[in-house]
Amino acid sequence: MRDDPAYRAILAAIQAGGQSHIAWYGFGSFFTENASFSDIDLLAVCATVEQASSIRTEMATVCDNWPVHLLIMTESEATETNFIQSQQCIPILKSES
Amino acid sequence: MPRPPQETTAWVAGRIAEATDATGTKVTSPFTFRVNRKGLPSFEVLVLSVAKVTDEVLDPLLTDAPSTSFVVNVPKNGIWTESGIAAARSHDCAFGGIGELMSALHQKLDDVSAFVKKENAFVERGLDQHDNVSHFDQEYDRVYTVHRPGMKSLRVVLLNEYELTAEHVRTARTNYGSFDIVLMTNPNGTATKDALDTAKAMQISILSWRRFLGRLGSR
Repeated sequence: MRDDPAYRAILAAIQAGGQSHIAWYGFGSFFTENASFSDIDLLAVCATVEQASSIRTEMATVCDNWPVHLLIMTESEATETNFIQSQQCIPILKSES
Repeated sequence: MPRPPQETTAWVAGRIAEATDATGTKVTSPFTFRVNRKGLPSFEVLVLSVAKVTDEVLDPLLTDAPSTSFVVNVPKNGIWTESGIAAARSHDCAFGGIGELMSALHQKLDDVSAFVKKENAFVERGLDQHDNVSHFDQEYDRVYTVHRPGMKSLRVVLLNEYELTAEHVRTARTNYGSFDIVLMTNPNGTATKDALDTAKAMQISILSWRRFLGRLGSR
């Protein structure tokens, strides 16, 4: 994985959130090691729409500081779209639930 | 604590230096860097990292950096207000995020300040040519109010997501207040069932471009 200050800040924000019920993934050019990237694509998968809203709030600071494309899906949306498989998402932090 | 602007500027300059359409970059002040291109004029970029771009943020910086051709705001979810857009335009600058700056480079424009984001240019041209549109106002980079002769105006939010989720709809509502339509500008985009249900509960329509054009003609 690239050693980038933006990615370090993202990981710190995810860990500070401490929400073990959320699964985090990366996708897109940053994670496929393309030479240039314009943003860092993240997927958070949670159980409920209420959790989705709290993820956006908790990640607000890092999203205001770096070019983070944060996609938040409920588990049912992730299943419906097959997004994790179709975009070859890379696990960053797995849900403990 | 927010990081110092010179760190943000250096980081963006580093990303742009890696782009195939640039031959290099040089940081010229805490907020600006120069982009060099093969066979094309170099140009100056002003870097911001704010949640909401307004004229109050932008005017002083552009007054101090009058040779700026492109204003880039780093946060992907940053919002350009009407006054921020007007400030950029009044200083003859193009604007957008890092992705738009890379697109501007890729287009190999002699004058980068002429760059307009494709998504907005496409929508504005469609509105200009529509018989049921008298005029439209751009309130934010992603929000238009469309005025129709003899019919109710429509407030429209542009979302370019590949997978439009319920959370996107809710965040748009939080950011922009009430609106009538989510216009899906990604031609390959689809909305999840939860997104459609959430929008329905908020009395918002999620429309593709084609259905949007049809909606403009109905009451």
